[in-house]
Amino acid sequence: MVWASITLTFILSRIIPADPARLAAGMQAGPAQVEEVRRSLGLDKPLFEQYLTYLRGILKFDLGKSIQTRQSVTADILRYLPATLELVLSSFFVIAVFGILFGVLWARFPKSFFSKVMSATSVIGVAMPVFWTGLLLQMFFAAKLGWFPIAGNLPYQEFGVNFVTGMGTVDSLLAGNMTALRESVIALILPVTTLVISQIGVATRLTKATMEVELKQRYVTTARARGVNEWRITILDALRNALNPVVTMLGLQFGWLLGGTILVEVVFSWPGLGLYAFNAFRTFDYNPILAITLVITITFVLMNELVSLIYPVLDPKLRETS
Amino acid sequence: MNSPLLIVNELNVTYGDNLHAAVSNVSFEVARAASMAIVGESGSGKSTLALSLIRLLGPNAKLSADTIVFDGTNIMSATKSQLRKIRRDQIGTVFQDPFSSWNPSRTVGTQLLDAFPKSSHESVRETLIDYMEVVGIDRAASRLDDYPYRFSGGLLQRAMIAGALLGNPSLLIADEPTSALDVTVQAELLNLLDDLQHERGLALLLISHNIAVVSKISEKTMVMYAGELVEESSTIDLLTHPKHPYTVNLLSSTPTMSQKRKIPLFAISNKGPSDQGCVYSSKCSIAIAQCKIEKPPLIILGSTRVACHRSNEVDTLMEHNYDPIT
Amino acid sequence: MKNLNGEQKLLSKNILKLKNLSVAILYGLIGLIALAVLFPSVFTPHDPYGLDVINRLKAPSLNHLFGTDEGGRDIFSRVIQGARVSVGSSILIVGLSASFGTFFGAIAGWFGGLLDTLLMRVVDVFLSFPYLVLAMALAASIGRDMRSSILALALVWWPGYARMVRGQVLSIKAKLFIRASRSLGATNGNLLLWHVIPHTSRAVAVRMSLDIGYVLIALTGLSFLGLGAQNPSPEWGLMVSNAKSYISVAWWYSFFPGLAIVLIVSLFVSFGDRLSRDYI
Repeated sequence: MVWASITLTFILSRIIPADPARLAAGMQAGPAQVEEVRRSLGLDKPLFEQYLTYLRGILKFDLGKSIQTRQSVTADILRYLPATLELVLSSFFVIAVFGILFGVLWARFPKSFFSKVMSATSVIGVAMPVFWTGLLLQMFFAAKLGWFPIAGNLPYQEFGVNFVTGMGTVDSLLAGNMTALRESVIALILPVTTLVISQIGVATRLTKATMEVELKQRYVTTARARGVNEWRITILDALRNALNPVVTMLGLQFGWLLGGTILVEVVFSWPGLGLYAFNAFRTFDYNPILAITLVITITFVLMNELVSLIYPVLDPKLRETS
Repeated sequence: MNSPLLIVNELNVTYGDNLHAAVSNVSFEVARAASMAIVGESGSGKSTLALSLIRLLGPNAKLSADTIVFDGTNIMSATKSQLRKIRRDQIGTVFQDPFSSWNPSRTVGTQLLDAFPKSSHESVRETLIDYMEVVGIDRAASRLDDYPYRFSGGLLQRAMIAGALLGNPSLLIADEPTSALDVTVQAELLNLLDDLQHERGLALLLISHNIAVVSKISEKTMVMYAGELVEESSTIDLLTHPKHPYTVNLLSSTPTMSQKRKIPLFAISNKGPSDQGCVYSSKCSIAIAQCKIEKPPLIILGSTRVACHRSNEVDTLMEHNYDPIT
Repeated sequence: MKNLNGEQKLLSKNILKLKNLSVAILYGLIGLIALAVLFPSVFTPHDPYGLDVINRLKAPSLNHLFGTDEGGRDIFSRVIQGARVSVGSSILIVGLSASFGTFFGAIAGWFGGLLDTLLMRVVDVFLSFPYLVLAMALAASIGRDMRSSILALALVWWPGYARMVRGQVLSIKAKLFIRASRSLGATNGNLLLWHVIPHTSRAVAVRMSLDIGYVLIALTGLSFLGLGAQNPSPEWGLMVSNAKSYISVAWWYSFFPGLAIVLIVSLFVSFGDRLSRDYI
């Protein structure tokens, strides 16, 4: 799977009608310089050999150099990945927790005002393009009201925090700087809100639907006949069984979240992989593009593995046979 | 101590917009340590009646009653927590399908202990193990930690009975407890219920569509048709001298092992219940004009209550093509 | 009984009316969109490409309902013209992926065996491929314009149809009427074309409607990143991207094109939902 997509991207990147060496050398470069660049990038070798070099490089964690940043791509990725992780993990956490929470409440109180609000709002998030939501939030809350920074995460120098991981929150903690920590959290709020708005409706609606199914089951009536508290039934009985499909969906959502993250990073100039990829793309910088494909694909595969690991926890039959 | 355990007056249940009530104006009493049965075909309202006693009906159901008083407590006006205590301690329930009545993702023990506060779990667990042995489950202690899929249907029902006994109830409601089980297991389970009822002085309310089942262990039987109570009598009287045409037909359509039968089994017509007058009049073979216009009230004939205009003629007019089930 | 029947008829007519009303609105709106896509010039008060630098970045007014952009162009007209680009392309993408996917899935499901396994492997590879990456790679190969984005999205969307149609075909295969047709001498191709594929058309139609919404979101996102439409195209995502530089001075510039996206997506998703409820 991973192999298939890496190869596919490699093929695509080499099928260009345009000359990559020329693009890399720049429009002003003369033919001699273009040849120079071609040789240095190994683009004069036969295609298959290039492919092998590429694969070998991956195994050695050598992903080539970025023309833009002039650093090794591996180093670039290590530098920018944490900030993206900070964004993605925070958003995912909020979506999972509140998606499930609202879904449970919605199923438990189907005729309440809350329920009506949920029906109305849970569909809207999907229709709003992530970049638009981000821009609107940015326009109103950052530019107009000034409650949040318009761009970036933590201004490291301003707060005298050292760049260790690249995650504003973590680095502030490491430096023991509480004001910096506060600042990094504030900077996280708008981008995370944007991502949450776009995805939470899916989780909420699915949780509500599966909970409704569970609450109609016979064993719920039996539990009530034993005098069990309604909330206990909701959480310990119904939710436990409802989680199965919800977890699967959350796994899928993680993938969609990654796509949305790129857009959010561009809108908020968040210094993560998304912004890096965006810049690499604009300047036809190949190695980063290939590398990012690799990273994204590996993340997808990892996520799927993780999800399948959780199933035995939820289903006792699987647990006892494995 | 001589007052009845359960008094029900004019209990009504309607679902949604349905004009025809699921349970219509039913009144009865259950004495302490009495063994009673409610029989009727599917749709007669017997299960609905049983569930409504502990207010366990779904959100679509509208329950109304003049009185439902259990052991001095007014069920209709009880608070949620009072109701929960009653369900846990005073009224035990056993349901029909053992396989869907348990949450497959949790152990049998945790599910049975759910209603009790954490602090008392240890002592309740001990009691539960005792009861499980009483109902015939081997290695009860380790069984408690098993998941439902490891139990057979019969054992699951036994576990459910053990759980129902936990709070020391004075009433046990068993809604078709054996319908989903094999015949051999059925007999064992019924005997178990019978023994428990006698040994512990429990009142047992057994609900079934099968008159043969209840005849073995219930002293008194109520017959329901289309949501109404049509006859109530001691079981022996019911089987030998039924006073309602429906009861007669029900008995005639029940196969028995006796060899004396020469007449084929009776088939009750499948016409729906009538809207006007007696609810059984559309199928009744001895129905007269009055039956189709005027609803027969429940009258008392000796120790029987019956709702039929021609109840005293039933004996002579209807063919006794059944054998008393012994 | 006559009265009862008569009364019943009136009741059902009333129910139909209410149901029909909301469906009618949906159809009407979609018709309107179709018109805007096909004949945008009917609806545009100004020239969508007409520069008028003196009037740049003006707030919404009667003359310019959605205000003007940095070139003084009327945003309302550009949004209308943009429908042709954004919505039109989305429809094209969905059309392409639905046709190819249906064909692919029908063959896989119908003939089964090794062919089925092989084809489904291909589907698996494409199914989990993140479209963004593919779009970037294609844009790098073919060039940065709508063609590469349309191709990229079509390549990513077709597996969904293949899988769905294959499943439907598998269940239809077993049904009696196919056996009956065969006994009458129908050939494989005949069966496929005239019986099997039309039977899947309802589910496909529902999916297509929903997908037009989802694809529109993806497509505008790609243009926002600079991968799809290029200036001066009035593509909605591109407009929002251009508006980024002016957020503090011209809120209307990023607001209205985005609003158009939200409305169109909601429309198609509601339509798809309604279709699925009525037919499935």
